[in-house]
Amino acid sequence: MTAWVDVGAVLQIAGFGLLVGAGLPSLYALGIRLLGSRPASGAPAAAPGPARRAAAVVCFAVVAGAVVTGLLFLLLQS
Amino acid sequence: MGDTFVLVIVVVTALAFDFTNGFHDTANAMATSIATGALRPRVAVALSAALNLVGAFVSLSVAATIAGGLVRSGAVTLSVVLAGLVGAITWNLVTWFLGIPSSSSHALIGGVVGATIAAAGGGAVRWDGLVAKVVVPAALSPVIAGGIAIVGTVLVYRLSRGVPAGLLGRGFRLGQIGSASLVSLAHGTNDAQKTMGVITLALIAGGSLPAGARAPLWVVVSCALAISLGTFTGGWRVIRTLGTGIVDIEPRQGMAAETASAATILLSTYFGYSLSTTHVATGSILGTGLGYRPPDVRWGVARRMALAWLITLPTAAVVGGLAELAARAMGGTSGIVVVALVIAAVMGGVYLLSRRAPVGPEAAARPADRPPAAQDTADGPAARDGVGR
Repeated sequence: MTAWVDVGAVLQIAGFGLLVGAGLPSLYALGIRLLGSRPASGAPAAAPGPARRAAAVVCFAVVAGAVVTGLLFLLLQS
Repeated sequence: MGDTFVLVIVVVTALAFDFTNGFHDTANAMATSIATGALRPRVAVALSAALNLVGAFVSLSVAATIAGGLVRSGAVTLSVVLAGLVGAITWNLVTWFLGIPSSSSHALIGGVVGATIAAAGGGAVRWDGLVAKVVVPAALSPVIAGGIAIVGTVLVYRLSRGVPAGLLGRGFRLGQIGSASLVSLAHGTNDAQKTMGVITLALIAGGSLPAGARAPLWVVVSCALAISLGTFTGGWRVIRTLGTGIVDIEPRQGMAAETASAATILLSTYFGYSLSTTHVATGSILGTGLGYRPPDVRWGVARRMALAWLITLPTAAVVGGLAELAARAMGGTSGIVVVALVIAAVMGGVYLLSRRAPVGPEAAARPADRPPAAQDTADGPAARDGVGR
């Protein structure tokens, strides 16, 4: 009789799943926040400075890069 | 001659199942995007159909699971395959008519297992394979996807606090389109293969292919087209339930749920598990409802769906078994033709029944119990943005 649960596979799916499934949307949310969060004082929103803008672009680029890399990795394996 | 004719009937029925698989499961990828207004319904199903088509051409590891691991291949005859498909199509149509998101994969597996039992007895089923490859993943996958969605939702809300509503709406609708596309692609890689596996099984049973052969190119192409066409038709009834029935979804939740689904499905495909995308998508949507503060889930609807999941395998198995017994009782080619005609009549009947209370793309975007005027203002979901965190 084979084992009914492959604990290793389940843990890997849960672990990697958490990393990309929850991590990537968080990174995307961070990018959005960098683009448009209001100063803490409650003053009206100002356009983000170049540093924040660049950081946001990095966030989005990492998300896009991770998705493309992940897809290529998974799909070219089989 | 008789054998070729029977083979053609079985292949056509398998493609019909693939089509129902497409329209039954459009909701898994696109229900939340339609519910939040990130995509217009027609655009959503078109995008999903295109990505299902692409997905169907890549990654072929699950097909082997269906074909090899669940029943002893010696027991599989053409009539067993046909009867299994009859069970699967019947279940898919009935649940679609009732608007219940249920697993097309379980319907297929149940049908084939039931038909095998009717033909060759319980000994022809690989029960340990069934438990390890189907039942256990079915129980675990919604929990894993739901957990990922809870964490994702909490983090996304925390990180996006203080972002102006306009940017929030635009930014996350865009994110949602991306994540929904991933789910569609994942669905294509996962589900189209199941029909490819079944047709390959039929070709082996009919002696056209040697045992252990891979799906020929024409099988891959026709399955990809059938599932894509089905997706494009849009299973609006199921979309309504999944998008607006369990959780009132806003774009940030939609994105978190879809990313969790895509990650779970793609990773499981990589490990060779034939997951139900429906179970995963539902788990994710429940998770994102739980990650929202205060938690917002309509458990009544969720319970009804869980019940449907529990009875999917046995019901499809019973219908598949009865179809096999009927085909046997009549015997040979004529039995198969009669069973095929009956399932064609069932399909036509359910379709006609559904026309009496049609649910179209517009109706699918709002809950069944809410009148058109109450929603559809662009700030319906956005109004909640101030409340969440």
